[in-house]
Amino acid sequence: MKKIRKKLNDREIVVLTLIIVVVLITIILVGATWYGGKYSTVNLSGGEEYKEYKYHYMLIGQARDEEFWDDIYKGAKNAGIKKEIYVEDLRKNLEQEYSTTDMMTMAIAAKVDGIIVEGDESKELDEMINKASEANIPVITILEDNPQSKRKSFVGINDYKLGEMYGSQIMNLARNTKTNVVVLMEDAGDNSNPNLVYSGIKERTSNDNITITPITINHQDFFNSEEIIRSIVLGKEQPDIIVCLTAVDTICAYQVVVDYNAVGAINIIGYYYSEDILSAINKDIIQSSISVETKEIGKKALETLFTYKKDKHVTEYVQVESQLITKDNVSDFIKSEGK
Amino acid sequence: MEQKKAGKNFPIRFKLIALFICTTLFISVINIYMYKSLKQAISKIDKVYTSNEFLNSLSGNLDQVQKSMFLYLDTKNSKALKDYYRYAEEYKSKVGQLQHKPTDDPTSLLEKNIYYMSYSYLDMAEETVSLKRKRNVEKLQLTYQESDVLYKEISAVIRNLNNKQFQNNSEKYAILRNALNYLSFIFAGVLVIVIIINIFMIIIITRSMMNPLVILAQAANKVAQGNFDVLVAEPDNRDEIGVVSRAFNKMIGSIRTYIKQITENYERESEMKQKELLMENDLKDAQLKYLQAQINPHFLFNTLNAGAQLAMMEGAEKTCIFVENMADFFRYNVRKIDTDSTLEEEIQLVDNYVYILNVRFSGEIHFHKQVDNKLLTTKVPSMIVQPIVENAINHGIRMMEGEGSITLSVYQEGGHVCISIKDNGVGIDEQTRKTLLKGQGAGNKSEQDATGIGLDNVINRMRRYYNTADVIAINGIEGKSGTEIILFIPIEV
Repeated sequence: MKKIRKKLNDREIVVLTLIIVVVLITIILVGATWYGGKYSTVNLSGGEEYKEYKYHYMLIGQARDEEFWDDIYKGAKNAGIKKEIYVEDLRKNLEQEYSTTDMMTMAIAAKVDGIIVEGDESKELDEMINKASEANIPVITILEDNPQSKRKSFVGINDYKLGEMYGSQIMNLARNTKTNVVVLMEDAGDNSNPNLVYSGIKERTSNDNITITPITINHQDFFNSEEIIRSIVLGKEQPDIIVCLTAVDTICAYQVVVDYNAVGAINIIGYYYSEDILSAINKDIIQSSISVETKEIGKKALETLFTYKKDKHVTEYVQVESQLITKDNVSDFIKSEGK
Repeated sequence: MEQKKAGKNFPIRFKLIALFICTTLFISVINIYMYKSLKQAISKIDKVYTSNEFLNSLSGNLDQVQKSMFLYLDTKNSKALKDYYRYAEEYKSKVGQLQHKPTDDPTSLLEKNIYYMSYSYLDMAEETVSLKRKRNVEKLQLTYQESDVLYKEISAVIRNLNNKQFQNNSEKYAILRNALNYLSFIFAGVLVIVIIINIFMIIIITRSMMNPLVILAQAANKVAQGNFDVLVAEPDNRDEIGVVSRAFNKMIGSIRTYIKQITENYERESEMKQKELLMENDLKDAQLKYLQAQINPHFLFNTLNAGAQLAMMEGAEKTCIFVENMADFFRYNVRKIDTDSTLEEEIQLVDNYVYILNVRFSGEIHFHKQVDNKLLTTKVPSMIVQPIVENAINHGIRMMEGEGSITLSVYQEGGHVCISIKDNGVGIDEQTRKTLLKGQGAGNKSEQDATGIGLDNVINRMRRYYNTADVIAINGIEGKSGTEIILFIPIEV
């Protein structure tokens, strides 16, 4: 009898272990399913997890200066998020390079809610802007204007004022000695609007001691800046001051001056600020730089566009302030850049 | 617990079938589950590239629209127009599947762009076709060019999206492959574990089922070898094995009882037979001896009777009495050997015998009797007293010098009639006494003077007759004269 009782207990233990094993297997299976399911579902729908917006604006531009352009884009995008506007940097989304007008066709065909375009004063762009306007798509130009078009507003820097800022910097550096100044200018092509920056510089530096030579650089040809600047630096008449109107030119000039040991001999007045430029200002390689609040451009462009959509009316010109960076205030910029 | 007990009552066949079905089901269910999961995973993997396939077909469709439109514009072929409408319709429905809300996801934003650009393109194409119908060649060329540009741009954007999605999908594919590998690895592990458990389960359950059978077989083997002292622990369950075990136990019990009965019977029988044989043997022995002697007594006591009559006629009275005594003595011997006699007759025989001896040995033996007359009718086996007296004379008195005396007393003591024969002879040694008490003959039977019946014969006959060992007592001390032999006859109630 005792043996039987004991056997029964054994059997109970066996049953218990079996139950435990079954439970374990279930846990493993459930775990595996969960794991596998999680993997599969998350990844299949992973690409489609996004936030929907109400409006879709496009930012169109050639953006030769990546960093500069990115800042504009960020400014516009961040300003848009609160207003349920998604700003698309069309160029970034395309694999091929397209001209601004081509991108404009795309934007119009894509029936976006608004276009922010980098103007270039060309007739083709004027046409495209008009077409967009016909299609009820408001267009705002930034950086450069297409005043002849039906663009709703222009957000940018006052080039003349910018030129005056450069001019006063040149005057500061020249100190009434004979000074050779080279101004690296954008090749505006045939549709050249009289260069307001250059006019501004001229206006301020109307002094016999100062010779100003404008040199145009065609940024459409890649890697051109460096060659041109090199030839200027190594040329017969080494300039005393190089004025750069783009960030790329500034960095190129800085690099050439360092490479050919012309620090001190050639002064650079730059444009925009990046880590390199700021540290160069700190080291006295670049004497000063003029910074445009790039994020502000994007932000203001978006806000203007939004205001237009809302009110059907907006001011034609929105000015973005520019700032002079010298060794005195460079630390502030380094700090804010660090942020 | 209740269920468990109920489970014990199922027949083995049912249990085995249930076991097989359960284990098979267990493995099958897990297999099916794993198969389903793997299939799901694989189908998911299959779906990874569907978005690319879709975009490819979209792109192909767009090409067809453009080509058929161009063909129509070029040739005004009505088939081309039909094709154009068909393709445009297809393309429209496909494009309709694209998402078209502004989002912050680059790929879905591209979808939106393709969606609207495609509709713009289709509108433009429609316009171009209608311009062709209106034969507005100038405007036709312009719109065609525009639509062509747009077509190329859309193609590029689709390609773009396709690339992006392909990139995404490849990543997904890689991850899914990993998940699938992981899943198959896990499943393989699970399958192995399950199989092991199953085997374990089968072993345990079959063992628990078959254990009683094994025990039963071992027990049966022991029984076959002749060991009936086995009992099988009876299992609780009421299946066939339980039934067989119980039946086995019952069978073993019955066999044991039967064997015990048979053995007892056999033992009793053989004991009885032995007794019978022994008695017969002793009787035969006695009879043989008397038959041998019979010739003499018959002839003798006839002759003696004739001698007695002759003595009477001659007037020799003493001789006559002597011869008559002798004749009586031998007659008794011949007559009484196989029948019971009374104590009186026995004592008469002793009288005769002593008279004869006294004549022979000229009155040397003094014979005294103290007999309780009430006991004279007691039935005794014949020929038990005279041999003892003879023994006393032969071994006691004859060896001594001087006058011998024998005292015969018959009295009642306890439940016995005691017959005491006491002599004043040479006594008896311890060795002889013990031998006599064991019932083995001590006397020399070939002695010429003996009547032929030894003390051992008397003792054995009496023991068997009364079925008790306490029939005789021998009192006497070695070296001292005198021996007393007492026969105990139980009084029948």
